[in-house]
Amino acid sequence: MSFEPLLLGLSTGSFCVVSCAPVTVPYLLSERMSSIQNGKSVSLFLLGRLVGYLIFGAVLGAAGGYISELAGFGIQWRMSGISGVVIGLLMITAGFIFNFPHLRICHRVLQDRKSHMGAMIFGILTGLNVCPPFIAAATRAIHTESVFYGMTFFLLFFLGTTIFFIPLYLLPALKRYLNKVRIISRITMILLGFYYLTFHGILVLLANSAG
Amino acid sequence: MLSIFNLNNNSRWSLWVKAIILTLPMLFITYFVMGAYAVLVPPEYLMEWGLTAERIPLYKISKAMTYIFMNTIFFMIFYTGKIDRYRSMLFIIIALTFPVDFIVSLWELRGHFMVATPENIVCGEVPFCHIVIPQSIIPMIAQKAVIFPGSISKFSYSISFMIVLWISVSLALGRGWCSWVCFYGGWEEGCSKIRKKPLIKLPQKLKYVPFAILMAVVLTSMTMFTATYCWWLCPFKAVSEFVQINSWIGVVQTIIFIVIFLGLCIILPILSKKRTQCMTLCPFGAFQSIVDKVNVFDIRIETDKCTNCSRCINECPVSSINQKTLKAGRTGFTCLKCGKCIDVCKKDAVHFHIKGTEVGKFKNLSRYLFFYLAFTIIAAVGGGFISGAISRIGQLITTGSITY
Repeated sequence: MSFEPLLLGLSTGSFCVVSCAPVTVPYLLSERMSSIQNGKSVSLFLLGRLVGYLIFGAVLGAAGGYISELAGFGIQWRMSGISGVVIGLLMITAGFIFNFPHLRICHRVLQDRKSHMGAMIFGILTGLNVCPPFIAAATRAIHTESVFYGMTFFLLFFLGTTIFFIPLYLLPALKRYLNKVRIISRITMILLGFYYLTFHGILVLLANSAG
Repeated sequence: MLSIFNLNNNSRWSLWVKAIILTLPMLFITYFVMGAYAVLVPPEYLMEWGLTAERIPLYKISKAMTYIFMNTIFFMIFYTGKIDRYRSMLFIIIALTFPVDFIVSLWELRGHFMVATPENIVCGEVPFCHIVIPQSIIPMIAQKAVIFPGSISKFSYSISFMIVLWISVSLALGRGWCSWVCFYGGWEEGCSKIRKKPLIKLPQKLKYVPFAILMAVVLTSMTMFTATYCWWLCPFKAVSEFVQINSWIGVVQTIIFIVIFLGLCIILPILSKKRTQCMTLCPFGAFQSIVDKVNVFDIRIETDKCTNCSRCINECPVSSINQKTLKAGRTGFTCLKCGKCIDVCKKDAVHFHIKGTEVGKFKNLSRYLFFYLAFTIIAAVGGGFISGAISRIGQLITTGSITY
């Protein structure tokens, strides 16, 4: 395996950021976090993305050895659709909790939640969500016909795309001056939750089941 | 002599003279920007511009009527001192005449009524609306791509024309676009004036929703490479054109825009007496609130004169003013610069203001400068719709056909 996955990540990583931005940006802006806390959240998000990518790499590498590419893509789209539904529901729920903290159940969740775990969960789910660069990487991973090489391919692909996520570490600069951004981001989470639930979740699953 | 220009000199003679003198430059400006000079142009020259001989009389009458109407409005603003009353009259008329002129001219161009077919979309024949601008900026800069099926320069609603218009108006008026230029806003403006008292009160937090929608459509437009607000949320397809329904997705989209138009542009403005579409949905308005930072005008409140009667808070059509902003001597970040708070203040404490100057010191200069800019723009943009609609209605009455 050459530098191909790394170069693929570097050449398409900006699109990965654009695809993940609807999830990450509102989530990171909706919480009151210091620069260090934001850094932890972004890092956990990226770690979650890596976990998602490695899962896909393993599945696709295994699929390449036993079943056709088409079926491999079928699994990929189903996983993507399911992750889209989960992302959407989580974003709607999180947005609802942030916007109505005075409600007893929301207050309890806000108190009990482990900080930053939300970032990791969103990272895993966006890692499982399909975007065009991902399809390009997936096609190559299937051809490896090996779980180990599939995971390695996606690891290098991940490293190539991660460079483009560095600006997320600078988000606290925005929050420091604009408290309103936090209020706005919490509402945006609900809106984008419906977007993910519909376009990246339900419609993908329906299209996949229709063949 | 100069005291007649003083806002506090209220003698009838003084008001007449002041209003006439202030209107004279606008008579000159509107003569050119709204094409009123065409009234005096010989028919043979108008025919060279593409007008047929049959159309010329109606064309001239419509231009003359619009010219007189607009300058009368301008005169009345200065004569009565009431900004919002006459501005809203003009604004509502523009919103009613825009669909007449726009829809019919597209009908003539394409041969079908109020529908953008797949062929129109593929060929880039969809008029570029200002609401697309915030969604398309990042793809334009980052990916050098236009995510809207419009034409760069082909006809009057082209991408380049709208962007130049947007830059000019943003520099001149900032979020004043929403009160002086937007050819859709008059629908809710008109409906909000039907009842004398509101039946429902909307929560203040709703004013953040347009910003959330702005963030959402900017992010999703980047991802989906399409203007998501236009495809899924824009209520003004009800008064312009919509995408041809040839799938169940088209049905869903059409239901959404009809429901939003009826709800936010008709019913809720009647019930709440607020401009609910601007206040709770429009991402372009939210975008203009951000862009407003480059504009030199804002509205300020002289706190030493203010008696905290809250009339401005209650009357603001987008709930931009609250106790916090009142104490700070300013309107909120969603201020449309409509002038309603200025009209309702009995203590003359609210004024247009040029940023960087002392509050209350250059009241007249700020007011006059803002009005000349705002009216020039509204004459150039809205004047065309009004005269176009008058011409078409006249055509319908005289010939039985609304198309040329």
